[in-house]
Amino acid sequence: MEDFKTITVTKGEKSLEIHNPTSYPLIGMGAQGAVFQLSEDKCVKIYSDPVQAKMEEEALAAGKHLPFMPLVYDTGPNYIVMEYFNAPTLKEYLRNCTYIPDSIVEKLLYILKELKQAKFTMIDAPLRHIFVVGNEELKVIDHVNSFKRIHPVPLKLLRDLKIILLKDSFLDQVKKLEPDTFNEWEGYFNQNSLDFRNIPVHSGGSGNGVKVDSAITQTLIGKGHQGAVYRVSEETCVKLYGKTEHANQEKMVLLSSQDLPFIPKVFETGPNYILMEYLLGPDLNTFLKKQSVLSEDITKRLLYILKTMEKSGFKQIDAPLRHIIITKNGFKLVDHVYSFSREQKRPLELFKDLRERNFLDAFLEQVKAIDPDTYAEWTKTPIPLDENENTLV
Amino acid sequence: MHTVMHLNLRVDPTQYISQIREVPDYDYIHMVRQPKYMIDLSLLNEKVHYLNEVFSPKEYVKRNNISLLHAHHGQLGMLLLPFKEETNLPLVTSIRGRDATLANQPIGYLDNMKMLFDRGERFFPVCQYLADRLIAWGCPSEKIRVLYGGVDLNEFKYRAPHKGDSQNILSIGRLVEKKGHHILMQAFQKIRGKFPNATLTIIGRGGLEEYLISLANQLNLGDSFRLLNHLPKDQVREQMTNADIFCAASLEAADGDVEGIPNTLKEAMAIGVPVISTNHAGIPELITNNKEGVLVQENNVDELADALEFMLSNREKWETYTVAARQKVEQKFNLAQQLQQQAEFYDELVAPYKLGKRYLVTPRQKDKKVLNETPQPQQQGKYDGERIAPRKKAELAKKALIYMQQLQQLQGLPQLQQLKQFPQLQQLQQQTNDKVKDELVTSIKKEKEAKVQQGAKDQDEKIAFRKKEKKAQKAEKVKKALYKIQKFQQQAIDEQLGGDHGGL
Repeated sequence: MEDFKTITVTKGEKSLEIHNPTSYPLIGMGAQGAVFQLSEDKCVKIYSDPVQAKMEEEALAAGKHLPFMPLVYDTGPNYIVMEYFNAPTLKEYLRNCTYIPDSIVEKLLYILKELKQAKFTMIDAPLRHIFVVGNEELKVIDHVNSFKRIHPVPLKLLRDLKIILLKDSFLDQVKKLEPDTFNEWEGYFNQNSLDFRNIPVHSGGSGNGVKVDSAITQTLIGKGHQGAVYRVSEETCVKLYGKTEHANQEKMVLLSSQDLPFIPKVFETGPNYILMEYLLGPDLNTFLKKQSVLSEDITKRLLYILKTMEKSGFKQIDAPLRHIIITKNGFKLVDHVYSFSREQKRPLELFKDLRERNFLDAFLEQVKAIDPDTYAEWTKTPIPLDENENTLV
Repeated sequence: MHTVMHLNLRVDPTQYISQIREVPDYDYIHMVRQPKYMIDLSLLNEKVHYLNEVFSPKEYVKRNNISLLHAHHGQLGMLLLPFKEETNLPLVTSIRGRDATLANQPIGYLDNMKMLFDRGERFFPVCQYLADRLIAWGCPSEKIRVLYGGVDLNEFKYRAPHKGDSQNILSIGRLVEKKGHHILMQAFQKIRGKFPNATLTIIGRGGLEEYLISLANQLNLGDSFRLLNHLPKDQVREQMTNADIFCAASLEAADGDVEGIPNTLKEAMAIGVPVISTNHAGIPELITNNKEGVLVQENNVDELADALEFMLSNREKWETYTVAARQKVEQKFNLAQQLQQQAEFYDELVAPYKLGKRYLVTPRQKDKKVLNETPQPQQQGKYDGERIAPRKKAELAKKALIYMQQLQQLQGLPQLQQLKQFPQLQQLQQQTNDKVKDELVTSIKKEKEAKVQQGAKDQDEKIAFRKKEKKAQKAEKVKKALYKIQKFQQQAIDEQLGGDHGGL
């Protein structure tokens, strides 16, 4: 038999680096380790950090009596051999479901209750870590942070359920089955509601995004390098910045361009936040995924935005597809931190995005017909093909 | 005007847009589950909303003045249940072919459907066949209203069948098993010897494309067969107008997937193309064999081949079929009329002020008579249901006004809101409510009288049955109205307490 101990997993630049001289297939990889299948019902999780191996080993031991925990067969300084589930995850199991079955709700509530009773601090699991084995029995994997992170309320579970539109039917049933639990959760959310006017600035350091308090993830819309955006009300959202410098840069752009139809409306600003209109609609990238042809209407709207930016003194002339939101009031362009500071004359990221959607040729063809001068300007030098060339022009 | 919040699969021209946006006297919100389901810019307007983006259902409903929810598939009805729970609004669910099969459905589907039958107020199956299925699954029959999908008769104008000697057979439908394209192709192959000039065109896209192409090769159909996809709507209609025979070989798929009544079949009948189809699902409700066309057993190559041969050899019979077919569509599948019907079904659920409407509107029997007297299909092209469509708006508006005034008295004025805790006001409120109730009872009585008078001559059993059903509907209406009033009061109380915005 081959020795899985010859497999090494180490932290690399961006993700884990795996060296696997065996024929055991890699079946999963996360931030802490990689999992290899050893047999039909066994797998080994190999950690890059022995501390984390120890943490999970302890959690699994503490939950040994719980029927939804994977069985442990062997442990070592950087590995755990445990039960392998050849079964769909709960996310897959609930595919296309529009109302979460009561049987599942009851089982999830049972798991949460047992975790709490076993004194786990992380009373939570994302859908992808829950497996549905025979007889609709649930199994939960990945317990590294069970005693480290503090989730008295199943934040990840609820967030995942929200994404697949099952959160409401889940909570509806929790309310009926366990009103106390429901009230406890509601109280937690009310207590931890977002007070963006008094949020401390967490500068994540260069290259890192803002630190997000997990207790308020339910209203998180998105986060990037400079900030995180939260829904505040039916019509407003707030962007929080890690650095006041970024906040100031974007404020300047947005406030001085409120008359432009594609700039989101701003309602209030603070040292590290901007309260602005919440834009409802698909982003243009998502939209174009469903289109078989690029309509001229879209090209015209894009061209209008780019030309208007140029005329209004924007330095960075670009409109990445994912930053354009199709609203009932037309196209809106978000993320303007560098609009006044980075010099960029051609919309290279837009080109790259359109190429990915297979619409770049159609787009340029249409621009050529509508606005030959701009076309000539854009194509004077060849449009760079790879990402590295895109950044510097 | 009431606003209905519709939830359908996509903002997409193929997804029964008129049933959302053109229902007479009802305003709409066109909702889809998530922004990614908005896929057609030409249909984007301020009434397109996204379910997952609703921050607080209660506030949302209030702000948009929504009084009814309509989900356009069974699954979407389930999805709206928590929303309904939160807002206490009545829920209508349309049931289409896909909803009535258990195969290939997500986990818990049947249980969830049963829960929906229990909690939803109305179900609109698109044919009687599906209605029967719902009843078999345990849906209370009093909650069911069959609502056939209609054809826009202005768009699909009648022309007499082609006189020449072309023999072009057309079929339109997604390339999926239940459309039976593979059966049609085999039947076509069987008659090719006798009719060497005949052609077969199939328009559609879907998962079976490769299979059908290879089947065509295997059957040696050569140039006589064409498979077209990605055709714009007007070109599809042109193909239909140019076809000699239209065929829909629908069948129950191996996984149990069924049709309702294929819309393309209704459209072909409206245009005046002789049709051949199968005894599948709701199709016999549209076509009686040898009257509006020819019907054969589903999934039967020989029978279908015989029918094709019969049709091609009896050209002189075509016009008899097409005239009858056009008339059938005009009577039961006319878009304007069906939208009107939809509005009337909505009326049963909302708006006490519209309760009197039933006897204000010209009775349907008379309209049918008008239709029957209309001699030529060509002329009937002009008839688009307009005669039924306009309601006695003045009357309605008057009633609406009274109701609104009462509503404002109860709810609207902020001063009144604050004063509500005073017992005198509560009494006043109660009196107003009683008045509304009284009005309801009177109007129902009147309606009953009108019905009795009108129905005196009719000894027909059918009508007696209908009356019985109506009575049940009325009882339900009264219940609804009372419930509405209660809700109303509850709402006022909620507001006093500062509102409950559902924290999570």
